[in-house]
Amino acid sequence: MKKRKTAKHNIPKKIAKTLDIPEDILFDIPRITMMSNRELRIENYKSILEYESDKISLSAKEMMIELHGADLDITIITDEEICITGYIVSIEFSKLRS
Amino acid sequence: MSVPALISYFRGYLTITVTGRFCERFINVCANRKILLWDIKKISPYSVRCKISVSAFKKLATIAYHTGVTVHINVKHGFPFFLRRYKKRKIALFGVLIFLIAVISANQFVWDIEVRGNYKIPEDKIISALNESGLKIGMPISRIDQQELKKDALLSIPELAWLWVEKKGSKVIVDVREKIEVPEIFSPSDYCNIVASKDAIIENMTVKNGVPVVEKGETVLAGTVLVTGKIPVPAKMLDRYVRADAEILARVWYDRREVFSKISTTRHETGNTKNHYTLHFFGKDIPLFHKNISPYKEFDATEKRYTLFGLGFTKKSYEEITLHEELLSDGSVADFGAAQIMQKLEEEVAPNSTLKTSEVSYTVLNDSTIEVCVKAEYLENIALVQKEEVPKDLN
Repeated sequence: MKKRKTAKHNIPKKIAKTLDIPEDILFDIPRITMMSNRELRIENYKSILEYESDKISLSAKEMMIELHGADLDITIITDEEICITGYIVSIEFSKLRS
Repeated sequence: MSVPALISYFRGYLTITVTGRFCERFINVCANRKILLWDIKKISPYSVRCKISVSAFKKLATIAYHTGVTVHINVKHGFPFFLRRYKKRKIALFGVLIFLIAVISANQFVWDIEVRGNYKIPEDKIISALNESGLKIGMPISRIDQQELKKDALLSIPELAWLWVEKKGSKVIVDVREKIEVPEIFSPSDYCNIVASKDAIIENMTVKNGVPVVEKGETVLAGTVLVTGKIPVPAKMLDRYVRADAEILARVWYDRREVFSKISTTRHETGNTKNHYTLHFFGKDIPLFHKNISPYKEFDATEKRYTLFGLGFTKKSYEEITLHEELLSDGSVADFGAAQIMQKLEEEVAPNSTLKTSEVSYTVLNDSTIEVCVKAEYLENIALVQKEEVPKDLN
């Protein structure tokens, strides 16, 4: 039963792969764009979990994104996109605890 | 300033501080409700500073209440707040209004006229022709009738082929094109002879077209036909007509006499100078503390004009001088006179002529005058093209 469910879930993924459609368009997978280590843009994020000037945690689909750095500012925030500037040192991805 | 920043400046925005334990929650809710926050900065563990538009700020009260944070306004930015601050200062507002009116009304008048595209016709001539038909510095721009000005100017200056008056702000640009002279058209029914332009003795003849009528060493009078364009063709019992072309080098004598004065006046500066200033205001001259009369009896005057659009001033400097009369010797006057006569002769003879001999003599007429006589011989080209009409065939 469980096996069947995963197979069903994989069908749109397979279609996307065969038609060469980027996955972030079909699913809410976060798309991350970085400009050197000074600017970071994340589309399709869900919410901010934690905000300090040296650490920002964001939740996205199926994962948690954690940024470490210094002087981190959120220059713009909308319901779909977030832009962070500052000196980014590291990005960590982890499975979202639920 | 970027475009979004400019827009937010005109609509007004606020810098706010959000204080509370759940600042992240507050930001998330704002993002979900499409309330735009920007330049978010953590300033202390429990407070965040950010920017928000004035219209969005009104929706914050309920969000702040539900998320348990307090919102505090730090700075109000933008044009609406600027206006509100200056609302009370009525005189300043009045000044701005007067300034705007002055700028706008100044733009309604002609401040400067510029002429472009003229090479031979002087600018003053075009401007004075336009002045007569109504275009003047200081007139309202709306009263310029471009078609009328074009018509009038083209009629009054026949050398102009085209003219257009262009209004560019408070400046008027007059674009002109000059007529190109039509070259003389040689009709096929005409032919040319070469005649002598001066009385001379022929030295050398180079005939390129036509039949020579005279010979080397012959003395000719001005107007004598030297080379004819009418070539008889005995075989066909008729004449062929061509454009005669030749270079005829001949010796020409000139005899020039002129009377010169022996008295020369020299000018000495006394060192006294005076400046007169005149203001120009839209074509009107306003003399400043003078009556346009020279302060000295004998003077040298230099004028400098400084103008910017319709306004400007002229500085006229007068330098006082004294005149001294001196009696020169006969020889020096004769040399001076001969040089002057030769200069005039050089302009008179055909180009590329060579001076063969010259002789200077003088006779003293009285104490103060002297007559200088110059006899000169030149070797010059005396060929002159003369058009003739082909006689109509009687047959």
